[in-house]
Amino acid sequence: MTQVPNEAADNPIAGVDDRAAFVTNALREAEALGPNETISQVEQLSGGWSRHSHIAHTSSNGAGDRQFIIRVEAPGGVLETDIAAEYALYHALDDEPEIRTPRVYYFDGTGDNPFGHRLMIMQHVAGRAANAFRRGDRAWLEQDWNGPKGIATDMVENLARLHNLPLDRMPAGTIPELGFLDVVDRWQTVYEEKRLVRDPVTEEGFRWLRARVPGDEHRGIVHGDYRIGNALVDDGRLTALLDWELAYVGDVRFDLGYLALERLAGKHLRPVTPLLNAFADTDWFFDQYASLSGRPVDREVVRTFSVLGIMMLLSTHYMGIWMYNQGRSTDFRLAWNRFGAIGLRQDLTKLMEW
Amino acid sequence: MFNQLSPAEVTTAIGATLRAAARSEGQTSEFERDQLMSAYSATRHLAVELATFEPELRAFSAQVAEGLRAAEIPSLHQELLLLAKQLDGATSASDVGETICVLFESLDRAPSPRADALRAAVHVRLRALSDREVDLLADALG
Repeated sequence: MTQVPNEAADNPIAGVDDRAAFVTNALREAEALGPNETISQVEQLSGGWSRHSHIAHTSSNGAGDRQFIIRVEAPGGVLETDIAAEYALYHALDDEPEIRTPRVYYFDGTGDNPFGHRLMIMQHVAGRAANAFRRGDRAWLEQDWNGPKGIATDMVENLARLHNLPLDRMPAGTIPELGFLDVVDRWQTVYEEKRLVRDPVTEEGFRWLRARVPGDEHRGIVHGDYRIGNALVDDGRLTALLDWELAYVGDVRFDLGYLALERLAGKHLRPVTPLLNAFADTDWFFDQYASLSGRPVDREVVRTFSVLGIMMLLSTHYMGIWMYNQGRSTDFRLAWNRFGAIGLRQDLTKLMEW
Repeated sequence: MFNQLSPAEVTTAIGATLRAAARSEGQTSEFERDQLMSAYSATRHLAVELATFEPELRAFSAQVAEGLRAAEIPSLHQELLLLAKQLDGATSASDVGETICVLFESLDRAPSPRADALRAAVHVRLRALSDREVDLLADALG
């Protein structure tokens, strides 16, 4: 994608601020705006751990308003992931319509823009993401499961398609390639560098993983954070999969093990639903996945990857707590995760069958 | 039990959040509301922890220390006695966690069936402690 100079100063668009002008120019360069369209307003949606989201609204003469999403890197974020790699993956998936992702239009790798950091501009897709920790959201997910199963079907089909995507469809080096032990190393390094207190359960978890390297590898694109909370749903169907910043090429069964975590089904201290990620029966999901992907699901291997999924969650908790403790963030939710780790630690002891 | 941030550090963090809210001008934003609700949640968890965790941790430490003293692993005998003494004198979850981690490292250096058995026995106690921690919080928080 071509780099668009910050033309706002040289080519001011009357009545809009620098951010709106920047986004207008970028989208015109990408031929994503009509000749009479401009961005009239940019507002921040949310501050995530490593990306901040903004929504841009168009105004045009006569035509309906449209929206675009700007995803801005948050340096010093909890997860130090590469937005350039994330953009490249989205761009590659633009050519794979059977894997539902928002279209991307523009990437600024310099950070020299009114948002102050690297960013990408993408399609705004209709829908909302369910929060498995909210009773109301779990209720409508369960309604779908007990009824049309549109959401459950879309979640398993998209995952199977992603995992079966030939790797030669992606430019080499788009996203990292990580073997099983590379992933273990990654999260153990975070734990060892950022922990404030030694946790024997966490340390034994890493030891347990190193003794259970799978004998084979189901290699493909791993989403890395595949869950209903990263999927937009509109009118009972999945419209887009989001948050690809943890994606890598590796053993795709990580996504299965991670999905199977009770945490992802809304458990803080006690389980709140028997449904996998609050949207589907576990056996149904794995049977469907095996049939669609053509790969059998070894539940013992899934258990291994569930433990690896917990290590990822614990390590990101520890990183966030460290950041708060060091004064790098004043977001209390990072400190609160000290309590969030309690249920995960219990899950770890159960999965390791202590 | 082996939780990052001590109770005192959590209390300080809650206080900082409340002060930030008190000093904020204008209407409370959604982000600020989330911060306050998180702080409130933390007070509830912390209250349970302060009221109930200490005897559980002491019982765990005593049981593990007894197991270390009874373990018949000649190559680690002195080391295990020292670790048992450290557990007896531990005054915080951080101290206990550190000692258990050092124990596991010692067992790694002297592998044997008895070391494996001791490790497994400590695992069982860790699981029980973890279950107890969850039960205490879940029962109190509803």
